[in-house]
Amino acid sequence: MKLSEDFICRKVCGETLLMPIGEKTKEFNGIFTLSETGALLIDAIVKGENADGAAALLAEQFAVDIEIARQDTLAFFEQLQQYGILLDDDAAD
Amino acid sequence: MNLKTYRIGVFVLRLESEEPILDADFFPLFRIDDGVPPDFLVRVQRAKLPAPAGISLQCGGHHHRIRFGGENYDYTCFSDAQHRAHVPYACAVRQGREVLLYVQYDAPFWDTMVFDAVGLPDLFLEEGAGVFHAAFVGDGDGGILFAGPSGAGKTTQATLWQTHRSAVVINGDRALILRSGDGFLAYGIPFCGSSKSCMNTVRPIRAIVFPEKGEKNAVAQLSAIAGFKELIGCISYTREDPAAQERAVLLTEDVAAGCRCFRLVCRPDTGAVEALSRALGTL
Repeated sequence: MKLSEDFICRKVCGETLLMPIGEKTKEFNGIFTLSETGALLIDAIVKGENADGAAALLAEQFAVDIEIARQDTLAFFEQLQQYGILLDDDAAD
Repeated sequence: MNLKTYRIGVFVLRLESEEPILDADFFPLFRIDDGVPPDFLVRVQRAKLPAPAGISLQCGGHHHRIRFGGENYDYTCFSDAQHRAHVPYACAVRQGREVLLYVQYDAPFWDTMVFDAVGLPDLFLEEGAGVFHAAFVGDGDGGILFAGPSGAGKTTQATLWQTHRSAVVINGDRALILRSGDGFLAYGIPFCGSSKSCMNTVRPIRAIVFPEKGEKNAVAQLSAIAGFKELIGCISYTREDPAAQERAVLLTEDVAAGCRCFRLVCRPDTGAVEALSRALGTL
């Protein structure tokens, strides 16, 4: 999976934001503020991790059970997919 | 050769053309002596628009960028309502601080058209200055920017300040913001939308205010991050250009962190002016 090229993730004023760019700004008028765990998962995606890899990082960094981390990761990714922020690897941007 | 030189904010821009470039709107207010060396030179020529081989010039909006052979071709279009299409009439090609502007249009050149086609916001962003969509009011020696989306009440609040505080509307639609020492300055620019309020002057920014129509008047100071989220939608840049996007984000972050930002829930009455004045400590 990959982050859509229509969005960028930036640390701004101490917070991690997910923002639409380019043509996307015309249809998507909003900015997401990511929690620490959300920021970690987005960073994992950008670094090429899959859901399992991202969940493992989450479990390690935040000392949570791997199964809970996996469930939370999948729920977060599902939300991102609904907004078109997270795409399958073979999806065209 | 016809020359016209302008100072917009701290930047000197020169237009150079074989044909005269007519004065339009408020641009004459920004003319300066042609002997001043320019920061940017715009060479305007009437010519067929460059058309990179195999690439359609079909535009999706007023401005449209095509990247070809390592160069950006920035097209500006008029809207052809009959054919529901945007038809390009100008194309700007940047080479450092020079812009070659091709114009294919059966009408005289005039300065509003030329500067619109040049893409001033991107030029300014490269120099650390941003054009923000805001009604810019001068209150004494300070500036207040009413920013936000269309319909939020920017013009209404600016007009109320003019009426009840003897403030002046320096620009009813836009302001050029740049850092100066520890603070930020707002400059009037020649583009002012349909407001007809345009002055060539500058003020240190006292506050950036985001009006929101409401049943009562209430003011709340925003955190830097909340200010950023509001302000990022107000800065002008070429959306297709990742470098311009990056500059816009960095400048907006700097402005939001360095200026006091307020949410003004307001009615269109003098109570809104009083509430904001009280919050700014200027009542």
